[in-house]
Amino acid sequence: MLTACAVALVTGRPAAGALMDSGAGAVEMTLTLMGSVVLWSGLMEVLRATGDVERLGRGLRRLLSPLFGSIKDDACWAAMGMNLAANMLGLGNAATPAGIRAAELLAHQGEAGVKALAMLLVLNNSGLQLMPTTVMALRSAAGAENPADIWLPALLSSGAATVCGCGLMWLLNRRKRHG
Amino acid sequence: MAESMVLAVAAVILLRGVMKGVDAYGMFLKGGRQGMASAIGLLPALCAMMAMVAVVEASGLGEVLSALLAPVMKLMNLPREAAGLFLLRPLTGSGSLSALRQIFQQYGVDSRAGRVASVLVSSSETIFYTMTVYLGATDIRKLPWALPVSLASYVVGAAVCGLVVR
Repeated sequence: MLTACAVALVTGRPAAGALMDSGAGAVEMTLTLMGSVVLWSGLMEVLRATGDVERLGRGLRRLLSPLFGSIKDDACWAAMGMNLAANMLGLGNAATPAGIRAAELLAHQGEAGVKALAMLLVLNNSGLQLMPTTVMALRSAAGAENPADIWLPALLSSGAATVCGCGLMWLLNRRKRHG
Repeated sequence: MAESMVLAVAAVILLRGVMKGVDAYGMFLKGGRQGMASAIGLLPALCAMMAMVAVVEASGLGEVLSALLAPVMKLMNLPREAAGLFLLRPLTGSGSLSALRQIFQQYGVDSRAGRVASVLVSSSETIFYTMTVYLGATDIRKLPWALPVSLASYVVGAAVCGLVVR
């Protein structure tokens, strides 16, 4: 930010106007997003109340347990499953507390826990999301012809990142075990 | 197809609510209230990031950055207009939303830059932020390989984005 201001002062480009307008832009964008955030948070809370998010978390355990090797602790898995499930559904409010709880629990599991936490973070960081509602809302506000048309490409892209991330972590963990 | 997906997801959620006999409307209001609080909570960060993106663009620093990153972007078949966003995405969520909006305004939401930027933002995560938050909860200082692997996967995801977005 400082560098950018300095550059603007040196080159004499009219950046002050842009700076002043940006605050209004932020308010406008918050208003744009608020409707969609409220709508989807509301819907996702309904889903959470049905217990389906926990069910998805348990399903993920079955799917992912080979990646997490020696972690068998039920409390760990409950937190990790909830974290991953909430993330995929775009439930930021639920994902972060569950992730923090998982990190705390895994920290007491020694070497295996550290490896598992690294894997959990890589999965979190690959950003797999089943319904990218925020970006859809922004596209719709910007007058996109079909705001949802980024759904499939986004799924492919984050799916590739997920596969690549857990594949790499798995290889690295194996190599260390044997080497 | 994607259009009907959104509707289908909303319908399935409500159907599940009815099937399980939950107070769907009450839960909707509860979740919506939380969502509203987090949207408002986002405002100050969004304001700071919006200011940064605006000045970086207006000062010409953005062009310098894009020029520096141009070879990398070209390799991944990504438009150079998205270079700033590509750098910002792993660092800050509100920053990348600001950059996304900037791209919509400058090049159009349905331009290739606009669509690539949308996919980039929705298919990735604020890697550095997540690492800090989750590690901060523990006394583990270093996680072997988590950061480099996350960043490598991010680049792979971006390359796939360049491949699939026409």
